[in-house]
Amino acid sequence: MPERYPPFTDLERLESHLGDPHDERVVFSHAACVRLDAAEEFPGDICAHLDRWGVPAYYVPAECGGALRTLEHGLHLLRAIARRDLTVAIGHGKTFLGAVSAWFGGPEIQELVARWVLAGVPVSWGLTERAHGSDLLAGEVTVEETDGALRLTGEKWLINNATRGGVTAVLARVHGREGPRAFDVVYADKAGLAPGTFRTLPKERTLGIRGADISGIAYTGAPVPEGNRVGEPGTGLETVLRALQLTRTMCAGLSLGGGEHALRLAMSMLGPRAGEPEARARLLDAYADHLAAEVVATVAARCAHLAPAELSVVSAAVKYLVPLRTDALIRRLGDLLGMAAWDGGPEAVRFDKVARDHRIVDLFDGNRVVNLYAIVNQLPLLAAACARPVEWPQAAGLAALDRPCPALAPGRLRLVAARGVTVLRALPGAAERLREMAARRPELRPLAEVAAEVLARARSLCERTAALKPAPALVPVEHFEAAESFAAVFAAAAAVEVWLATHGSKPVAADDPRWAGGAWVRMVVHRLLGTPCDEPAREAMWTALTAQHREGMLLSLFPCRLAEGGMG
Amino acid sequence: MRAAGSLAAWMPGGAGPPQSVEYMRALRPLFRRDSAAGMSLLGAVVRPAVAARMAAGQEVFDEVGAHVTGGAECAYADEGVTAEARDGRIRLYGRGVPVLNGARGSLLVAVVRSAGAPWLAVADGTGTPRTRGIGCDAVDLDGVPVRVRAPLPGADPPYVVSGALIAGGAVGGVDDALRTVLRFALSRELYGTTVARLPHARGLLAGAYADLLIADALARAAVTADAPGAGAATWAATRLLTGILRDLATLLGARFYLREGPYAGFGAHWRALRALRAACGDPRRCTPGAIPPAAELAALAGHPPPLPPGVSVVSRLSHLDAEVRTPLAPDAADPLLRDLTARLESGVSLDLDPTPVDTHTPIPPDRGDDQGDMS
Repeated sequence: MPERYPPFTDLERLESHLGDPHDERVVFSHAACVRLDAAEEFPGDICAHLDRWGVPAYYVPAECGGALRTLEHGLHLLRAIARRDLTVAIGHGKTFLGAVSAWFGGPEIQELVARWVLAGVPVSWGLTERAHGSDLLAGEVTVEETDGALRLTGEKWLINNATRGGVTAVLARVHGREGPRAFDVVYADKAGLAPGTFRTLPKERTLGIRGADISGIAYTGAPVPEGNRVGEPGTGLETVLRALQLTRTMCAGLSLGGGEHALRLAMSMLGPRAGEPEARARLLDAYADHLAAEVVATVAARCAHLAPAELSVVSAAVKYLVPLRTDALIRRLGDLLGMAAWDGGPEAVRFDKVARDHRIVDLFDGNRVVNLYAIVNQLPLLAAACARPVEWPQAAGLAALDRPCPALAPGRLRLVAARGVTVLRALPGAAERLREMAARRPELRPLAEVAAEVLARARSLCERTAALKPAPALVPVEHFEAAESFAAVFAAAAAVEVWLATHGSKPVAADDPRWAGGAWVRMVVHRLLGTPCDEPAREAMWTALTAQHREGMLLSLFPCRLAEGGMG
Repeated sequence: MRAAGSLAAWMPGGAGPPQSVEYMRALRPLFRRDSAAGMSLLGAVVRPAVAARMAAGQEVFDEVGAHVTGGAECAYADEGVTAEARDGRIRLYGRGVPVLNGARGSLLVAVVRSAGAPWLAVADGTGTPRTRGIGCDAVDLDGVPVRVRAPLPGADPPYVVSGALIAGGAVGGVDDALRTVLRFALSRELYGTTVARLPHARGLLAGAYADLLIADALARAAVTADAPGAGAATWAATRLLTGILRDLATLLGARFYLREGPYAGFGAHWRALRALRAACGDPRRCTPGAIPPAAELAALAGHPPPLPPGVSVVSRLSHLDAEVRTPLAPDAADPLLRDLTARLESGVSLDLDPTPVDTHTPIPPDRGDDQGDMS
């Protein structure tokens, strides 16, 4: 037996606590989630069950007294919750997003917010406003310093857990100020607010996650202690932009869970038909897309620790790519199922639910266009970095998934990746290393060829990007196209490097046919960049997919047992 | 709709396919107001009527025709129904899925595929156990006697022909969705300007308009073409229409996800038309060989809509199933947007045959868990 990929140790423990979701007697069962969705009821009992296991501690960095050793651990734990139900993952996981701003502040605010979270208080994140959406700079909620207190006034809308949450992290404009340094992040604890100084807004009825508390909150001179402000006055927007780098990365966990849920359902609903050529091809595409999401999200999570200065662009690429491709994955599986996806059987109901639920992941923390815009802004820096490759061994830590990461240092996150991204800068060295390996081991030739193709695409992208003029305020369409290409090439490069740095390590099963010749990389890159994919690679992937589904294992590059597979 | 005689083409005495373009167009005002109601016609009327017309049996044709023209609805089971002879009668068994409009249909029209060539059975649909579905119901059959029956021609033409009609009608629903999002984009301020001035948004809006015109051309071709062209055109039209809705949802942002409020009508169309790909554009039934390349699909469109330089029917049909469609560049987007905005302001439809529309279309009320309920 291989050693567990470290984050999967926690995941298996949580699975053991939660039990088989197909068993209607367990608290967090599929049946319960469907029932609550139909009633548009918040999954309070399920969230309490997560609290009992200690999930809230994973929303607090270990350095602040919590259990979150790395973002990588948090990502995969959220994925485990999301694979059962996205409403629960979003409703419970929102506390991570609400709390995250505090980790950029001083010890006092860190301690205060950690205390709330560890006590199980849901924390929400009040960023958006009815009139301004993702345009945070236009925000009108104000904070004014009077009589030794901060006073909040204005309305935040479409806020997850605004009503249910005990505390809200509010992005507010300092009264009378303009510009990017005119904002504060202030934690408003409802328990400490004077009566009549706030009111929650009605729950919005939504397409999916129907039980979730999507509402809003309005403040009228609500007094908040001075100590509840994060960082220095006027640094709120910068805090939020850094915090978004962490939350955008974590959002990929929601997609990983949603994609897995849909893929497992499709396999079950198809039954013996799954092996028919057309169905097999579609299922394999979905599996490769899912593994691509797993790899790129995991590398991004490690980037938060190992290359934090790059996370501004890496998190945007992941947040753009993973929800988008997971929505497409679910849609294509629906096409494969045909009218069977609509017949009202228990699995069809769940499939419909996960399809509806997952549509919201793209909207969190900036939709796909907002994230592309974040990449567009850095295209000149990314193009310039192409001329500064780094040696392969130097970059391998990011992609060596068996190696531990250092502690998170939020203060090292930057608003731009001034030196480009390591994954792309290391690609020439990685491709060369693979070429050398393939010269000695013929079975690696297809993989080396794929790596060479990814490198060629990366170089082409660099040339194209370098030729672009800096984007004006009204960003032209071709800049968005370059940003889309960047995200795809980044993900493909991450796949190549993860194989190179991780194959043969302890978490990889020695007999896993996907790893031996890099079959999974060949298929993942095929899906990302349209490169050819050979039948032996497909066969290896099919063997793994069917075995993982049959044996109740997580659909992953690494072994991980799920509750339905038996935890003994 | 029925009072206007739009169903007459498919009923006894009607001319059949030659009138189908008119019927398809007649469905559009209904879809514009409520796509769920439009989709419900698929199972209640259109599919059983088309199947009855195509079946080789006058009794079947007469019975379904009398039922439908009398204002009643059918329940149409497409898969899962078998038949056996017992007690001197042919009886139906199995779980019929999907029973489009199964909740209300009092006449059960079922395709039986148990052995040999498929045939159409007509039976009393009252009293059979129904399972409430997402967009359709299932019906459990345990010996329901067949009243009349008739063989169906091969290659599944009832699915393709009725699917083409409904997909063509759905152009009306997507027309209304595009109208809604254009109004939003023209009025919504973001980053110091309106959404409609952002190049990415302009490219998506213009692309949606181009795709709507192409979908209309394909649907018109589909309802008059022979298989397999009809199937391929329908398949492509359903992909275009659902792709438009995805792009428009991106533009609408979080409001797309809300079932109430000023843009709830968009979400109602989105929910209702989610089933369009499976109900009308299933590739296994529309293009059972292989999906034709974009150039062949473009040729099926017959008379291509007028498009500006920089955008072609082939290019729009080249990436129908891509995760994301590239927004049109300004030289292609600007003329399309001018035309689109002019049509919005003058209150005419956005399809190939601009006709006046009610510019104050009421937003369909939220239906709770309807999810594009076809009943």
